[in-house]
Amino acid sequence: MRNKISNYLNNGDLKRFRFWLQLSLFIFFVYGGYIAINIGDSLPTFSCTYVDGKPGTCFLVPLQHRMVTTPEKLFSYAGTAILTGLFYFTLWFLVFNKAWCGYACPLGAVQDWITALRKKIGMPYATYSWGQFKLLKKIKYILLLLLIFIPMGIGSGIFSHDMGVPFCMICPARTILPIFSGDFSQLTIDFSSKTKMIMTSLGMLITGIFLVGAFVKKRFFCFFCPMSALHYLLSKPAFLKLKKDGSKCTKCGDCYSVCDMQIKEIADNITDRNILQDDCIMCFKCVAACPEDGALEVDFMGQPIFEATVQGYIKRMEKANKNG
Amino acid sequence: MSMHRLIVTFLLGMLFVNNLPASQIYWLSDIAPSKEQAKEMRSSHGGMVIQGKQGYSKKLWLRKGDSIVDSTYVKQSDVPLILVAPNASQTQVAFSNKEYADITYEMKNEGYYNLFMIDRQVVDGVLQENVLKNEALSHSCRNGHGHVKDMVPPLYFKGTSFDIIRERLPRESFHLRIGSGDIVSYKVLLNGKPVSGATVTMSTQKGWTKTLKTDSEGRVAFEMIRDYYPPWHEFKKRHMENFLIIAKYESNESGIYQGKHYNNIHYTATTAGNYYPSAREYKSYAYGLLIGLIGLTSSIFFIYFHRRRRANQYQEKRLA
Amino acid sequence: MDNQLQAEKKNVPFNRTHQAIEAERMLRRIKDGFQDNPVAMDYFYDLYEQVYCKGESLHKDEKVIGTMCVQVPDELIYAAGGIPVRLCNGFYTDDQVGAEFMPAKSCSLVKATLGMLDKRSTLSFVDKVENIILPATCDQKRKAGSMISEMGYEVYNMEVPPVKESEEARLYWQRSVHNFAVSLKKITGQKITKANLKEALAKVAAAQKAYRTLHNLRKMAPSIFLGKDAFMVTNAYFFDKIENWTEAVNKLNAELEQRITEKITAAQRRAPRLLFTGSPAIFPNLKLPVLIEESGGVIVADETCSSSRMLYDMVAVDEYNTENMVASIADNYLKPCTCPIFTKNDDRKRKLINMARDFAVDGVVYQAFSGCQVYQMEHSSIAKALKAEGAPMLFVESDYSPDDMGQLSTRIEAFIESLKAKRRRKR
Repeated sequence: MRNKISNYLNNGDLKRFRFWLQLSLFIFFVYGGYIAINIGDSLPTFSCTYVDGKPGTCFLVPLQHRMVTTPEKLFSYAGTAILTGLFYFTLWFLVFNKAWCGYACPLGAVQDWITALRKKIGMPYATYSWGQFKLLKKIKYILLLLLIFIPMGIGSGIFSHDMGVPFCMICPARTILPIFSGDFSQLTIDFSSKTKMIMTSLGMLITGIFLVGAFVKKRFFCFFCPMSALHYLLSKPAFLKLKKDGSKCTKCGDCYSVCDMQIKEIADNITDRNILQDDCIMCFKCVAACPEDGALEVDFMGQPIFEATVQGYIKRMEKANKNG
Repeated sequence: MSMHRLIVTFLLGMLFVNNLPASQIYWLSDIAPSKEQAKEMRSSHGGMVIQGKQGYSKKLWLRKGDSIVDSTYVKQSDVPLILVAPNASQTQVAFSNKEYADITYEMKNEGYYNLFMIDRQVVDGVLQENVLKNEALSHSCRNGHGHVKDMVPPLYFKGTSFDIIRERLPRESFHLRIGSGDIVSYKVLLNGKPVSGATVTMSTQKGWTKTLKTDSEGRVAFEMIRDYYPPWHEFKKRHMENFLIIAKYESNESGIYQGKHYNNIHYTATTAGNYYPSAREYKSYAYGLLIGLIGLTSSIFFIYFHRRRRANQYQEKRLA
Repeated sequence: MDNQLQAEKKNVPFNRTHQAIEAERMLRRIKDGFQDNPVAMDYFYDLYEQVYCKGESLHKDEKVIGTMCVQVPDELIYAAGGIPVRLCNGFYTDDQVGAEFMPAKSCSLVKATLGMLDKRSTLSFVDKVENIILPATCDQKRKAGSMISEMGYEVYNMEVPPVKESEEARLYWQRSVHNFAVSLKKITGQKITKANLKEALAKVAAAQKAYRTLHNLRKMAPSIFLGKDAFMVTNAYFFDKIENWTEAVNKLNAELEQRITEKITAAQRRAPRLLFTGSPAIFPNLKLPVLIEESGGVIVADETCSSSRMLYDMVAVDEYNTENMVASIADNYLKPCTCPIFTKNDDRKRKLINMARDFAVDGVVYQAFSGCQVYQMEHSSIAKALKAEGAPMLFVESDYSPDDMGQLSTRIEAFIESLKAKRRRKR
């Protein structure tokens, strides 16, 4: 019986599964609040606070709010609030690890739909050169540090309160996600103060760049996402894991060919068991494209739930060749 | 103390208090009388508050007058007040009468705190019933926003026979700032039921007034006026101005109050509020879309020329 | 000109030429020297007879493009409307022809291929090959290019990076494959489009799927399929029509599965299971595999470029547009390639260890042609790695000449005996 189930899962059509799960979760995270769902404000995904029907809020929002404090208060009661929020965030995150990025994130879903549009018109995708890759991957950590320290600067009086939620001001989710509930109000430039003018202009500029970037590069924004950096720092003890058995790897590079994030380690690293990288969005396209039994697998609490198999690989490739 | 007992005590207490002189408009205000007093306040969602270690406190002054600019600060009053907290618990409070007739109370919970002062006296066969009301919001974003939706609707207080209630704007949250151009509507209730034909006057800080009569559902709707025209570089989006709402109604009821006979009742209710510049005045869609388009087109050009260059050349390698 | 015509010109009937006789001898040994060959193997035996013994041509009216070395992407050739035929030759007869103008200590395979290309006249199952794609892999193949073009062929050299780990190498190879794809249009006259490339990928994937099934069936213990037949099957991929080949292999797989249920085995339970690796065994130079199996061993797996290395690694494509498909194909032909021409051989070691484990082999036979520097230089590190895994390795240096048969059979028999003894001791 167990074999039957694992065979069914390993031969599964990952593309179709992912499409429907992403769509359902997108609807949940953009409209769920309308049916009075409220799952708190420590979510490890872009359940954007500017979206009217949100069922909960992205953790970066209360994090930035609560960081508006002085160092003294930070080490007393203000710090407790942050730690409590971080605790709930960690609980949510530990269950699904970075699969929050690949399957739940509404901004990720939007990027995947833009990619589908590009595929329809037959335009090939863009890639970063190795030098560009190494340089640009650091940006997500810089943004994470900025979104922690700028609010602290506001609390100490260095920056004005108008810098309120600095990352949200430049995040494309703020401008784009509310559009799905008919709210275009985030597309404005706020002239009420110099700071607001600069931040909202930056936000609109980045929105324009985002739309083009997501069109030519798969999952363009995810490479720069501070939430991804925060995820990776907590990812070791998570329940859902991406594992590799290096002895079975033939270095065929199929996993690297399909990886949206251009992660080389998935193909080149044959020593580590836990193969999750900081850029990984756990979409599991690599596992679906691996033609060696057991070389890559997805584990949940130690139990494999989706393994690379030759049979599954052949099934999926035959289907893709027919339809793609 | 149960609500019933509280109201009875309150009304009995009124027997022994100095009533406000009749035919004068009194109202509760959160505007400080002097600059020094104003310094200890800071603005928060919904008005001016005092920031304490544990949370916010609200300070209100009793003022006399039917226009904000000319209203004076009353120095002393013994009329008791009822404070209704967001969790519906009620306490009786009094003015401090130190320098002015002012009252400070702590706002420990999130939500609206309603402070009522009900003053009754019979003058020349007319029962003057004055209801002074102040609705203050206590909210800090630190406490999250999950509870907000349920706490937004206004309080329908049973301890007063005449009341004026600000109806909530569509999709209102604790972050609301009434802006110029917004339609602010009030409902007037008599004995808990909406009453038509009551006169409601809105009077702003700069002296603009408008008077309307309530309709069959007891409603009036004011379109907030715009009267803030600074030079553009001095424009402040949080520029706050106050307005005063005075509701009046006369009814031909007769009865006896405190041994005196009356043939008419003149009801008066007052409440105050703030308004700010409308977001439309400093938020521009046109510029937003323009800058978005600039980002879009410049990235298209950048990518196009970069890829053309990359396709034709080998990348330059430098030693140093 | 037609082969038969050429042969007739010399007044020697085709099936009486040296090559035909050599082929027939080996074919006889393979077919008749063993009992109970699978019925589906008849397709392959007949194919070899047709092509090698009778000189029939297979690809009439098609644009045949000769390839040397396993790094040439077949999918691109199919997409451009050509038929890729692997020219690497296994005939001692042609080896002797090549020896006339090649240095004495050269690789037999290269000598034989050059010999075959030079005389053109008799046996050549490739009819009218005009274009030859030659990746710059080992020294001898590299230099063979200019010699072949002097013989009158159009040689296209593909640039292969000598180091495959670096990003530069990967990009270099992608550019090389891209240039090849562009050049194919000049050769075949047909441009590679999304549609025909998809079709080509599907064709090759179907063949690889059939091979993979066969590969996995050989894991059975006791073995149900002999190595000599496996080599016949994979060698046929060099020149057979790919659809026919795929169909024949699928039939073979079905028959083998049937044999599993009927519990018919190809070798005894006690027969030592062997892994064959090294210089490619190409028909009719299957003397080493046949010797091994005649001595009681069974080759259950192989790691050579005439067999598993050619068909094992499958291409994964993310988006079906020509640019990305060509890039995916390029990556797949470089990264997993365990040919010893690259600087490091870690991947080959791991693959061999993995295969040794998966197929439960008792020992490994490593063949290296005399004159093949790269295979010979790798054998000691491979031997060490395999020994650590508990798989003893026999290193055999050989060439195409039949003179060393006696010495080889002694050594092989001794090796197999030692494996049998080891097995008995284990029990």
